Amino acid sequence: MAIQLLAFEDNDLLRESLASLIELNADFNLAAAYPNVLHAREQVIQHHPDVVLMDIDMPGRSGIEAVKEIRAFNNQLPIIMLTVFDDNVHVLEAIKAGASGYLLKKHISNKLFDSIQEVLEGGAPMSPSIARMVIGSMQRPSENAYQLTPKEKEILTALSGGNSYKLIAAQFEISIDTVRTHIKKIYEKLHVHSQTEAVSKAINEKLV
Amino acid sequence: MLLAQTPLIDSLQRIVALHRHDTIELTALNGLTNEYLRSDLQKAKRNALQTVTLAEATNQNRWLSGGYNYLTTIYREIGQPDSAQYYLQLSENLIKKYPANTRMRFNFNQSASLFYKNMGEYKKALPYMLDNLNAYTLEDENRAGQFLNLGNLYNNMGEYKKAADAHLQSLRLFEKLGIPRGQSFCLHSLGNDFLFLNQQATAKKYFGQSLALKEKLGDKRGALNSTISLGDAHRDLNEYKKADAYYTEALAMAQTLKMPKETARVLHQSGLLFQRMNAPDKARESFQQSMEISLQIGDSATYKKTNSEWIGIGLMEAKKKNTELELLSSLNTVIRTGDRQQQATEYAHLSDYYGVNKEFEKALYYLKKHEALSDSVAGNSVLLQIKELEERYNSDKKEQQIALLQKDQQLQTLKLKQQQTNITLFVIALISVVVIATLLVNRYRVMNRIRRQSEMEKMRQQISRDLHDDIGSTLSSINIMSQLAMKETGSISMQLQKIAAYSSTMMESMSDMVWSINPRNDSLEQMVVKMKEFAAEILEPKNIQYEFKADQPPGTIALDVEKRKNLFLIFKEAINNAAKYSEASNVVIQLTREHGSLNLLITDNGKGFNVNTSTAGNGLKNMMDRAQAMKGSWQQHSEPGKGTSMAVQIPIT
Repeated sequence: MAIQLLAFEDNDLLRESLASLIELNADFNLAAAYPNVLHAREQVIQHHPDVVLMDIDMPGRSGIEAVKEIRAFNNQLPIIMLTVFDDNVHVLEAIKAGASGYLLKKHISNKLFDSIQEVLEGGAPMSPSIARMVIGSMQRPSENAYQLTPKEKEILTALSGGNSYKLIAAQFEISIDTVRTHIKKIYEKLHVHSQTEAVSKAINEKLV
Repeated sequence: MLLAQTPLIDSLQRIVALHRHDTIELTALNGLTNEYLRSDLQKAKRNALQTVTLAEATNQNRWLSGGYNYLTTIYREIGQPDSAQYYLQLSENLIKKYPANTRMRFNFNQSASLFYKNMGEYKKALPYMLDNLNAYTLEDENRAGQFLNLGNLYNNMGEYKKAADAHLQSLRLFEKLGIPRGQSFCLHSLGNDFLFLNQQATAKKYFGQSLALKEKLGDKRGALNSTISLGDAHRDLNEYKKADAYYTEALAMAQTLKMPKETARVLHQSGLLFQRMNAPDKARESFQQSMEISLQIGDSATYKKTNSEWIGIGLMEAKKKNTELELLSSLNTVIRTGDRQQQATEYAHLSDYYGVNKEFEKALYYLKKHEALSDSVAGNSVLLQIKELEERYNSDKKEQQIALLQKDQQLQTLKLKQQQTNITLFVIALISVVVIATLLVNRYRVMNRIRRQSEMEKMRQQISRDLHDDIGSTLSSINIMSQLAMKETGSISMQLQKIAAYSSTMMESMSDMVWSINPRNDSLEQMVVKMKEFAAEILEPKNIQYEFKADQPPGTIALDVEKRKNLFLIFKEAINNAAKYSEASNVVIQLTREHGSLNLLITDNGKGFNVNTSTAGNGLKNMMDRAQAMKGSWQQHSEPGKGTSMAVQIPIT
């Protein structure tokens, strides 16, 4: 049974290329590809994908909004963000909203299927730029409480210094998989944190 | 006379309601006690008791002592002298425990003297008062108050000269300090002094001034006192109707304020009025009511005084003759308490009594005593001295006014000079304003331009990102397409390969460009991060070991966009070369800082090449050009079989 994918990408050319790329791989099937996320909720429910590929900047509504909407009713579905830049605050926002990972568009042709596999196996990619942004947002006094463990903070700091997973594994004398697990945990904490924040904000503003 | 709760009381109560349990609450409670002291004694008592409780709990001796002193005053006022004496004793114990605390001692002295004075024990009161006056010489409100109390005490003791002297001193101080409440007390006391000196017209004037001031200040108790005294003055001027009106009003006021001592006093005075009006029955009734009240509250002085008057009525009617002992007992009481005016009256009564009983020798004896004492109390010599004092006070005041006028004149002269200067200054100021305004407008323009520029910069960045986002997506799809085409046809087409490679390169250089123009990346530290990231991305998949050594802390150096781009691209080129051609198993990257320069050294243990025979490719030429663009130097060393090293040195500021 092929892995079912659902894609949201507003660049027509890229959407088509994605479709062609996936079509050639028998292990994957693109259930549908849409140019916007205006009906993301219904489409996710309708197609029941195993993984969602989501562009960040789209007309009408951003991919981050769509992630929030999907997370509101499905906390498990892996969502991979597609982006041209990895130093964009939007990537961090998407992670906080609940994205499971991201893939730089320049790497789509080489790494798309690896990334999907990695996310399905519970991995989560993070670049030094994103690590730096996480640390930066932790240093803001109001958001200090991601409640990262000391080890997670150390790994994040090492990552933000430009060190690869491999170097970090060597530095802390752990396996690369352990590094990945830590990164995955950091992802979850960022998401949980932003969730509680969202809930408390909603209560404060009497929306709930 | 009803007074609305003042804003001061409101705000103090708000502080107390916070229950802070600290000195601020104590201060507020103290303030409330002081405010209520003159309008509502029950509330004052509650606040003072609260002060004591809190001060005990928090160990604040100063406030504790203050609370005791207030309670002494309050209990005496509401006619519970035993309780008053109890708190006075507590206060004294505290003084003995902390003899070094002069402030506490001062407050205690004041309370003790007031207590004894108001209980009619004038001689006991005097030493406390003098102790304070000697110890405390600063010309402030406290000293003014002490003179006032001293004057009152002397008045009670019949020392009217000393009394008026002290009162005038006090009035002078209060006027100087601008304290109307103190002035109102002094005016009243001066009225008292003159009343006893049989100068009723002057006394009336002072009482009237005092009453007006007190009403303005909302001082109910004080107003009551002045009202009684105005009654006394009118009575002594034989204006009985007016006197009666004042007493009636005073009686109502005293009862409203629940002040038995004052009630007894009004009744006593109004009894005296009736006596003079030849209405002995009414007089006796008033005296009797007064005595009942003063007996109840333990005010022995008033009681004896009234009792004596009451007996006096009997004497006038020549009905009772066995009152000698009563009269002598009254005499003894007043001698003990030190009220010389009353003492003189007692002598007169005794003389009358013996006269009626035909014991002329004794009658003459007491008459002489009466005259001698009256003279010493209110005699002509004393009167003259007091007149002098009053005049001295008035001339003091005039001198002050003259001094003020002279000051005014000087000020006028100064003003004229000042005006001249002012005009000059004004002109200068006007010119300055014009200059400053011009500068400000200019500055505003510049600021506006800068702001517009930074807005444009932002917009440009946004546009560039959007554009790159679009281009990046498209390039990515071209890249995908070319790879798909290769897979589909199964042939390794040169053209397709090139399309794939070029689109990849374009994506790379585009993201490098976006990275280098982002101002957040302008520190050397960011550059190092990017370099490490790139090294990992290129070298790790090829299993090439690498080491990255960077001087710490490199973050202090800022690199401009151009240098950032050039240095990074040189680095990339070198790393790519090492990965693609060198077949090295190990690469060492070193980034060091020396004075004024930044050095990048990349060495590998690969197969190397012959620098002389090798045709320098585009890559090497590019690196050299980029180094030159940074006004730096670029060198490469290599020999076949001995690896390759590349060194870049660029100047930094």
